[in-house]
Amino acid sequence: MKTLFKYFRNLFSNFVQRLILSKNRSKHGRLIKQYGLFDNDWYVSQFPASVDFNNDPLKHFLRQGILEDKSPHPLFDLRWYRNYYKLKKFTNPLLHFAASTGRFHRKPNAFLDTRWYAENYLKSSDLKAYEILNHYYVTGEKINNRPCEDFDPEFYRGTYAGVGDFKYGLLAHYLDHGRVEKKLPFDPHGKEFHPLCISLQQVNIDHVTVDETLSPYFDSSEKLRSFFFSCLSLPEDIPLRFIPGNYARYNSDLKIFENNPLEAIRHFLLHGSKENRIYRDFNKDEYTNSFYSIWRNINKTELLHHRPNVKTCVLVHIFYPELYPEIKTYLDNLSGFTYDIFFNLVENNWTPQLHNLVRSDFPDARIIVSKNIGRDIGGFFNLLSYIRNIQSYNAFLLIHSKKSPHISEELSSKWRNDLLESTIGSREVVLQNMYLLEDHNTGLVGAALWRHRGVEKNYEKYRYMLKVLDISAKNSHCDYLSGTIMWVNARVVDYLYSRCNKLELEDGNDRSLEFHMDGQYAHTIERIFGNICQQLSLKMIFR
Amino acid sequence: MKIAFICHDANLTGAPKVGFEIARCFSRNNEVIMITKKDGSLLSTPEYRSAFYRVLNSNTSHEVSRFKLPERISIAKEIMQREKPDLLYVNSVASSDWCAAGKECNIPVVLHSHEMKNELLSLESIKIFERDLPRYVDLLVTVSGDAERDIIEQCSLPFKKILSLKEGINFQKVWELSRAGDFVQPKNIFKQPMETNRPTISMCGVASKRKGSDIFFQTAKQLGQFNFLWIGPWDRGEAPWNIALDEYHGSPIDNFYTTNETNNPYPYFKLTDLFVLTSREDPNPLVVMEAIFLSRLCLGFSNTGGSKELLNRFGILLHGDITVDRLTSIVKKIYNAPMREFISEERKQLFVREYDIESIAKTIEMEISSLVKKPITPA
Repeated sequence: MKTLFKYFRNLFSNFVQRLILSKNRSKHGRLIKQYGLFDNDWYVSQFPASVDFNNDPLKHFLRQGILEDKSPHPLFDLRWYRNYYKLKKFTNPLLHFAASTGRFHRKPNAFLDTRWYAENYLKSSDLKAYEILNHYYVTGEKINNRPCEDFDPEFYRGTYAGVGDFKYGLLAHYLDHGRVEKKLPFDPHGKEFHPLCISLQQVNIDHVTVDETLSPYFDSSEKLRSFFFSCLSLPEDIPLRFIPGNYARYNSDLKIFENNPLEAIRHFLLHGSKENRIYRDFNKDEYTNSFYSIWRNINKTELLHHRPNVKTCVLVHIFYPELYPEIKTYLDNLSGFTYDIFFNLVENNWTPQLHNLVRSDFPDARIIVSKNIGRDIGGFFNLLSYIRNIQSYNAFLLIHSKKSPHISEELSSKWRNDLLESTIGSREVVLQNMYLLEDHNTGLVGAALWRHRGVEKNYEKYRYMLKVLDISAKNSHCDYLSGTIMWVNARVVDYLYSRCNKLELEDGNDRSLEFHMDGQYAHTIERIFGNICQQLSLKMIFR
Repeated sequence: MKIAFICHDANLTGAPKVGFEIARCFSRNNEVIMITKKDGSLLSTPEYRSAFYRVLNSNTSHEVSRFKLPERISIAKEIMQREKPDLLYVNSVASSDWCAAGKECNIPVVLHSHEMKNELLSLESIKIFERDLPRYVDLLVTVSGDAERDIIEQCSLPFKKILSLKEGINFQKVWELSRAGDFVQPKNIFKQPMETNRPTISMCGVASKRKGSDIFFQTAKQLGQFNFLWIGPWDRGEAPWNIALDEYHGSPIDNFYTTNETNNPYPYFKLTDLFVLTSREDPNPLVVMEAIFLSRLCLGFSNTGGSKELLNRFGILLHGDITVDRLTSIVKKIYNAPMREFISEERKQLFVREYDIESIAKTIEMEISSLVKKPITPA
């Protein structure tokens, strides 16, 4: 009886929704046309020549195509969209997409990351998602703008003959043909891959076949299909550069997947992608161009005898005392250079021994003991309150005992060491960085491996801070050094501190791990350093 | 050069104590007329009496007289017309009514500011400090970055010239006085002498809300394993603004000791293991310097004011709020792992060099000589 009731209820609900959809059809059609989300030729090309569209393919789409997941636009993958955003059958995906703005920018396919694209090329956060799509489709691809980090139009056009002739563009070619034809969307040279991920990503879900790479994991195409079904995902959801071993190693709670790549992928598809978990190593070559393009023009012989003229202030925040010896070893690379040094020790972990140790290692240091407020940024702000004229210095070196409990110890150490190596890794590195900072147009010098461009959960606070700091729209795209161990021009520090020193930073005591991961003012201010550099027309050097 | 040196008080408290020392240093090369607005023990100290050319008490302090501002200025003018100084040195904003008089007599005016925001506001409420004060001042000397910031913020005009200095003390004198053996043993409320087998934590000053006597007493209640010693006036007669008195009498504890009024606090510093500055506001308390000089471990809070510059280099500085909880927790940590030899001999030498009153006075003297046409000649 209950089942029967459920059946009729669903039938009725479908009927009502279909009625509503048909009632709004002409209105929806008008909007879709207005947004530029329907391409007649493209839509028609998906059907056999015998199909009669009654001279109105859009109407056909709204009556029938939409329910069969036919794509209305070369860059709108309707099936992928419906699955990725878990839409109900009668929701119009195009209107759902068109309504998204700001941080809620949705993607029309797996490879056009509208938010990333807007942050990198459009420098405006107020555009609608469909405007971004149209920008890429009409202009962006022609000038080799990437739709996401993993699609390189220049490489794709240059590597695969004939793809440039595809009427609807390179990305449309890749989505429609290239992927399942096992073409790569970017230059694989020097990058790390896992064969299983590549093979899975290139599966054609409509004609599933198990190749050599997949056969150890799946003994039939049915099993392969059901794998994707169980992950609620499509093959293109797997990042080509997903390294299951790194995913397991770098996320401390996923060690169990270290030798089980398939389960690591499943976990990522179900949870990891939403949680922004790290899954691959960074390739230094991709990031270091900005430093080496400057560095190769510097006369190295001259540098050997150079005495840097950079009045430096070193701010050190120690939350984890066990990391102090490591930091001290790095700070020793500053010996011989002139600098003032300030330490902020945190009350929670403060010990007299630590205080004495710092005092004996750095007799001239100013040491304060503070509450655990505002993470490392709070510590730096505390220390800045003791400096009467920030611009009496040329540069600030920001150092802290960085640990990231939400990721594995291995990745956490790597992160910290990468940051420290690039800032004060050796006397030579210090000299290089000071040399770079002698140029008053240098805003920041830090580790290229940890350059980051995502606002993530910090959207509200980030927008608020941009306003507080009077950052203009053209300088509001997110590009910064993740980890805040870096050299910064004193003008940047002064700009930030003079406007934000009254900001109430969050108390970090007795808070969950999730709280510490992201979303605090400290995470926002970390990002804002990059915007201030843009605002003051200072260059950021990632090395 | 003839210098009229104005002190608002002549008791053994912060600003007057520093003022008398600076004046003594000035007196080596100048004729110093010491004028105080109120009587006090410093006026009768032979060492000072012999150093100064003349010592006067104008009796115009708001604490002892009811003179209105025009009357106070008029008395000041009268004294200056009579004494004819080349320069007026006003030690602390609490005497700033003299600045206007100095200007009217066409004498260069130096103001040495020791006060912080709250004190400035309270001086403004009794019409001693006025926001247009910079009009009358040729040189502002400040004792710390915070004190400088506060007076600049509270004034409506900019100062012509500012000299930022530290507070200083006479180390030789502190050392000699600390060696005195005949001092009254501190007692607790039950009239018992101090336990000798417990570490002693102390604070020095006239007990009041500003000095944080309540914070000190509350901490003592929480840490029964330590002696807590208040050096200086505590009881109702001597410290009428002591806000901890009700609790002191209402729920007495046996680990809290007081010395009450004393002319020589330094021997008590020697009984101390840890000196804590609980003041809610203090531009640059000399007691911290004295305690550091006597090799005591010192602890204080940044919100107190100027001592932070000292403590972040030679002691322990807690950044931010002054609370019993923070103090309790840090004191416990210190005694779980005693900080022996916190100040090495080398650092102490550095400290003495930087905070010696003689060298600070010399810097001021050089600066003020440019304000007057007459060259400095030995008196």
